[in-house]
Amino acid sequence: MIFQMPGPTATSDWATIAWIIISLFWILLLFTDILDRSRIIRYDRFVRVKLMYIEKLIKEAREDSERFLKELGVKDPKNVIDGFIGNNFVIEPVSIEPVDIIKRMSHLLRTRDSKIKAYVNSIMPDNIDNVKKTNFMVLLEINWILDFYYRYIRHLYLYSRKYKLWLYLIQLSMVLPVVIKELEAVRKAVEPFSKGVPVGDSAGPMVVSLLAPTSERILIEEETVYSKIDFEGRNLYLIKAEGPGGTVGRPGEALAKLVEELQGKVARIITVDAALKLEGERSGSVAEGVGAAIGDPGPEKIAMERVAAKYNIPLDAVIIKMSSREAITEMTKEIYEGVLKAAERVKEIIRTKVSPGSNVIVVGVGNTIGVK
Amino acid sequence: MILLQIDVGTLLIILLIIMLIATVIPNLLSGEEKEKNVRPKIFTEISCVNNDYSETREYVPGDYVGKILQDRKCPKCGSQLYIKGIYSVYPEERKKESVFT
Repeated sequence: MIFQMPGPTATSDWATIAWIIISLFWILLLFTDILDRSRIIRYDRFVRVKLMYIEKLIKEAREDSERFLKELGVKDPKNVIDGFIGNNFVIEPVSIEPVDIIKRMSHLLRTRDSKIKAYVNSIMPDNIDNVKKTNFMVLLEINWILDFYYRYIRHLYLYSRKYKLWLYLIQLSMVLPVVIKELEAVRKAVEPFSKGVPVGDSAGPMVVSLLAPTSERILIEEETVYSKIDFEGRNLYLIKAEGPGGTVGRPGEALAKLVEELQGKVARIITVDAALKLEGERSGSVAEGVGAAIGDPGPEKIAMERVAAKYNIPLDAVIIKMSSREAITEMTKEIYEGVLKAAERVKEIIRTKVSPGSNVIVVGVGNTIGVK
Repeated sequence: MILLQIDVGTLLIILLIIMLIATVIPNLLSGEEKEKNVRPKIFTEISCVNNDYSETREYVPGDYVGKILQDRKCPKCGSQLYIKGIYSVYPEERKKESVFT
């Protein structure tokens, strides 16, 4: 095929007009910021659409939570949720002077927990059991997280528009798809926590439950229990949050208390927890390492490390890997199979590293929703 | 041999249309994946305390791990039955989301 280009004499009027338009178009592109502005309009629209989507997630989560409250007989559930969302923040302790920061942080977190409990107790009818109350506390947190993220993203969006900080807007639009995925997972967490179904994060308590399914649970710390069983000649102590309500308890403080009660005569401490997998890793895979397996802001983890170091007790960690989404939504079969494997791994550690007659403590860390 | 006569203006317009198509179509096709509201099926695994019997049934509200089933006994040894685990299963579609896992 050959294209034969005619000479300039063959150029028609409309072709000349087209040529001028194209030339003007290129001049505009090269010498003005029209291209940048058109991109900013696109970023702006993208962020606005995402904000509307987060609004939709908030609305859905609110409707489900209000339905849950209505079923429990709470009057005016909308105001109950609004009352929590608008009045829930914790000011971080001073970190420039780190002396006793853990003590101060622990105090603030305990104060916050007590405040939430008092709020829930004040609005719930007396006949509602603690399991439903703790589940509702988690639902309040879910609604607060969604609302906070919405307000914060909206703030960044409006701030960038107000002061023409286009870089803010571009960065926001870059990071929003990931944030949205996380918020979708948070929104989906409403269902398991209103039904009382175990989530991925319940893997640690579930391992403990599998090791001693029918043993008596003895209260050792607030919302934290322990059981004692004989495991092939070893004294096995099992610590977990008090279920089946949605709470994480105080596993660090409970461990410290139990070790002190045993006067430090503990051959080994094994912590079991759900852990975030890296992209590409298989959900439910189990790994064994050293240290305190707990995702805590500080007080519980340091309590574990301190008591282990004080009495020179080896501290093992068994983790069950999962994504952040899987951690807060209904436990999948893959993770459940990981829980079964983790329980076997814990038994194997005890058999091979703890001599008969010794004391060993297993701590199942995580939210014990749906697990007694 | 085919001989095509084409003037500069027509060629420019054709090029312009091709450029527009090349710019717009990929943008239209790269629509983000919308989150499908797929609900999982939840199952409860029941086991005998002596580990000689187990069964799986659909989750019933009120089930929790470690719950002793008062109304039933193990059909093999007559011991207590308890809820060993609760897990969810998503439809096959969801598993295909990740290529590398």
